[in-house]
Amino acid sequence: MSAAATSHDHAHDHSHDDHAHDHHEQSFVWKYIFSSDHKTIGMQYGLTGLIFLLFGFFLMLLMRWSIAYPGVPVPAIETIRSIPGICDLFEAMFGRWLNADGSLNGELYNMLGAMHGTIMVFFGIVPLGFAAFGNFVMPLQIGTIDMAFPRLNMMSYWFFFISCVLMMYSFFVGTGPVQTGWTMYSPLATTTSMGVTSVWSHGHTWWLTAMVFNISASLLGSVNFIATIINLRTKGMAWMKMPFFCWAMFVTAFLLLLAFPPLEVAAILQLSDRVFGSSFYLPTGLMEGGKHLDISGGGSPLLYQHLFWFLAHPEVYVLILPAFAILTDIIPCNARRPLWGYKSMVYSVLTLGFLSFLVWAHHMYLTGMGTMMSTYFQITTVLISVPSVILLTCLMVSLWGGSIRFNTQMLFASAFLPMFGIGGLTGLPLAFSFIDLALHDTYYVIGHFHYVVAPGTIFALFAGVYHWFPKITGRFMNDKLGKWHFWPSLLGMNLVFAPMFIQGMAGFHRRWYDGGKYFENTSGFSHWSTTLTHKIGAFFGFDIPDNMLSLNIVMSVGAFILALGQVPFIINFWFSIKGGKKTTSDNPWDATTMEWATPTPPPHGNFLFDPVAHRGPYEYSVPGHGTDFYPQWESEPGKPETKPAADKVLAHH
Amino acid sequence: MDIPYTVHARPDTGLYNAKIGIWLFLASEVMLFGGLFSAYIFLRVGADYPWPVHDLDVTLGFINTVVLIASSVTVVMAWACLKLRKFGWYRINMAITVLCAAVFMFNKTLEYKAKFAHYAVKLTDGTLLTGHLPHGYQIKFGDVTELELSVPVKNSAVTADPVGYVLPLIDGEAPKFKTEDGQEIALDSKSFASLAASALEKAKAANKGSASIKLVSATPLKFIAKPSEIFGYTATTLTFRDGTTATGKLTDDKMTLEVDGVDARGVAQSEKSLAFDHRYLGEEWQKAFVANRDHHIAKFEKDYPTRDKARSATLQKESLFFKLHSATPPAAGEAHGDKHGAEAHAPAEGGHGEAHGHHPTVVLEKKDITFFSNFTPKLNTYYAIYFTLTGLHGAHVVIGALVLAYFLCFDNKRLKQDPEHLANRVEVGGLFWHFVDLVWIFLFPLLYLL
Repeated sequence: MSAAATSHDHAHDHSHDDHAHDHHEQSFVWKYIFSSDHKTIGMQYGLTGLIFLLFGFFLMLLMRWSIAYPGVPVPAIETIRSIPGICDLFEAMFGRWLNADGSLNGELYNMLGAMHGTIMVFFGIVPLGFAAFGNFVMPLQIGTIDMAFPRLNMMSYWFFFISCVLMMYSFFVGTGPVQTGWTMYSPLATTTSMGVTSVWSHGHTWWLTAMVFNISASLLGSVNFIATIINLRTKGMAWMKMPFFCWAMFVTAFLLLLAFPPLEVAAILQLSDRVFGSSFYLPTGLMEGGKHLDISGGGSPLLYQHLFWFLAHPEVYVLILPAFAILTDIIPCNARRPLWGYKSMVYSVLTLGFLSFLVWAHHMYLTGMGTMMSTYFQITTVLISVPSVILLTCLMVSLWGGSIRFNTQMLFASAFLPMFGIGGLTGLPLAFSFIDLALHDTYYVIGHFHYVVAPGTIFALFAGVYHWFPKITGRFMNDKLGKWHFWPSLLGMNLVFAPMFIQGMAGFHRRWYDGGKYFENTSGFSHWSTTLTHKIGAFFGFDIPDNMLSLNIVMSVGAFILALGQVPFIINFWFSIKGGKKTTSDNPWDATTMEWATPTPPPHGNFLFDPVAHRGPYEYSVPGHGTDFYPQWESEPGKPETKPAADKVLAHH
Repeated sequence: MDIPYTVHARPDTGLYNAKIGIWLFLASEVMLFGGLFSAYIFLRVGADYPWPVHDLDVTLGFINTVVLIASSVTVVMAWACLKLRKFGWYRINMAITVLCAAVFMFNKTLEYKAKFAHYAVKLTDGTLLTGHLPHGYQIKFGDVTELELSVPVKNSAVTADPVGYVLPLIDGEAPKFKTEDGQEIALDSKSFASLAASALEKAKAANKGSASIKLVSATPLKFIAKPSEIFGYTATTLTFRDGTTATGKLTDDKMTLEVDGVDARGVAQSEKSLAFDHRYLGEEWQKAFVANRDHHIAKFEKDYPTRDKARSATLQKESLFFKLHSATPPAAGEAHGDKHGAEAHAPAEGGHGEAHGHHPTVVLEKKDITFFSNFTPKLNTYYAIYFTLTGLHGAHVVIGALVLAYFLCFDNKRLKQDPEHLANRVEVGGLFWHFVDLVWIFLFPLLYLL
């Protein structure tokens, strides 16, 4: 029963109240804020996720400034500090930690780094990729009216919202936000700033509390997704007629369901270490500042890493699978070809989901956990690349022989393929412990991971926004602005992340706030890429040194280009809601999956008829068929199903 | 419009929505407790101290096991009666289930409460003394006339907070202070703010990293604080967590402990434990300890001639963890072994409701204590995981019981109009209840028996 329904229940005496009602005018609050409609919740998640992506990106820009120009005041700092309103906020969050001259220091850099990781992963990409797209699209694609548990769905968003508030609050407390990287390794994360008078002025305590809410939200969401897919598929929607999108969401939901609880355990134990003074992660004899800590000891820092990575490796697939999900809709639709190898993709994604639980300790080769353990995890890690490659290959082959429409979403989708390929292939060496020992914690790892997630997942998410925007609003996003968004983003992403491989192999450590300026043995030599940078700089009249530090400037310029590239997107997004070109049909992309059979935008209850899946989800360019697409819901060629739904409106009156 | 399959099962899956939902939720719960059980194994295997065995009250644990299993039976009975539409029996069975949960939690409270009042003190040689602190443990610091507050110039996580943090630790009324300029002030947030502002200005002018404020008290001050409330101390200075330093004289940091056990498992030569020092328990207790130890070793050798003594955790505990049941050593008639002033006398009267019996009291010097804690997560990793596991389990019991109680008390409309739907709800709640029971069935042997 929705919250909306609750407010009307007094008027109608229903035998069961587990139903949502759509036949009353809902007030704004119940319709858009405390809504239990899967589409509204999807949009809430989506907007929150987009805002956090932007915020996490802003944190990264500050970091990049410090890396490229250590010790130089942040540009326009005086301007920011003079804007009324903004200045107080900026001062409380960041300004109070800056050096007197307005430049960054290591302390602030660590805070930015930890929060960039946390926010991007847990508050940006997962909410946008899984919760937003999954919530909006998945129930439509399986032809149902809502999620199985609409009220839990609403609760999921509001738990998430609480966790956002708590996480942001950590910027304002005494110690500022956490400084220990998004991984929060103990004992550092347990003992930093023990001198503070109250645990609640530690940003870390707030981080942990926020994560407990975030995890609970994921849990409610994933239970809902799985139950919906199992039980609410419409007539004819057999498992193997289900779009791959739903399969990917199904597996993602299982990863969240089973991998997050160990992180919850890790968070609870760390919270206990901080608040109750226990020693789960603290070894005997631990000292800080030359003083023995008042703890019993006897715990193990390794325990934290095991619990953490048991979540955090599946989490990587939680980040990437929604991207595959989105692409399997966009690529066949715009290549006008069926998805190649649908069944092998389904089996691959299931294998991938299973194997992702068996690879976690490849993040821990350097901890000295033993060669037997390392060998085992090397094998599973190499194994898991097989299903990943099958997924990518199927998407690539799907392009073969297509007549491709290069609209904005297809540009993003096709850029995803090589970008994710680079990210994946550079990951292979890291699977082997002997190489990983050298590359661990260098920029190489950062480059690898970000190629997977930034030009990989985030491009797919952009593609999804462009693709489903007409269904949500009834208007297209502007294609020209879309291209102004795409090309700078592609260029910027590569300028930021490609040089990381060179720097990483040269030995640059990921946590240098000065970008390696004081590590001359590492940063002092040149390479063809640095010479090129030097020459290009000289051509434009800039004095860029011919050593590894020059790449910092390249990357920061790349980040700046990337930032500029998002401006057209933001303009496009907000202006198209009211001012975009109107769609003329409910199925503007001539797609085949069921979300396009609904009115635009889909009303509460979604379908105007009882949808039946008559065929597979990717029937494009079927030989002998009149048009080049044959939607799932059409009972015979060209004849949309019109039988009205068994009337939902008056069902029990 | 209706969400399909809320009451009746979908034909091809054979499940209604909530049943899928609860099974998925339980899968997630299995991973949650699975993570904690794994942590237990990891901590126990890697423990570098004698892992506590047989520390808990098995009788109470056993009663709780029986209670919980009984409640699992009654919740099924409640569901079955509801399916058969025997509403009276449904109510009775459900009420018994909720009652069982209450009994379980009551027993849990008894267990927890006893632990919070019980302390263990680790001495420098590794001996653990267990017992009670009749007066608590506080650091007393007197004759303070000067306070030095430190206010960092740059923004910092730690900054002086004399009003909210230091003043409450003063024994008695806060007096007036004299500032460096000779002003007499009552320290409150307003006067401190102006002091800090002027000190900061001076520090900035002198280009120093932090500003310090010196306050002289009109009358000598006395501080009383728990060790956890302050940062550190020497004979003449007391440092607070906010960086404030008080100069004065340490008056008392001795700990008065009513000893009810000596655990010498961490000591190389157990009979030479610091606990038997002449200042503390003395020779007579040492004799009793040695007699008890040798008795258990001899018994073990007789009963299990082939087993390795060093590998029996039970023997280690029985022989080296000596329980004291009287105020004087059992070798009765002999004089107290305390010629040097450490009175072994009856514990302070009153204050403790529980019957400790009579235990010897020792006054421990701070230099001999490395660590102390009551029996809470702080004590060691065993109690940490014990409290986490049973605490989380207890939270599950409470939530489960609340849900079942809700069905019992507030779902009567559904009972009358749609008992099938209520039966589904009870089934789902019952599945959760079984899970809670199952977790306890793992917890009981793991924490109480092994």
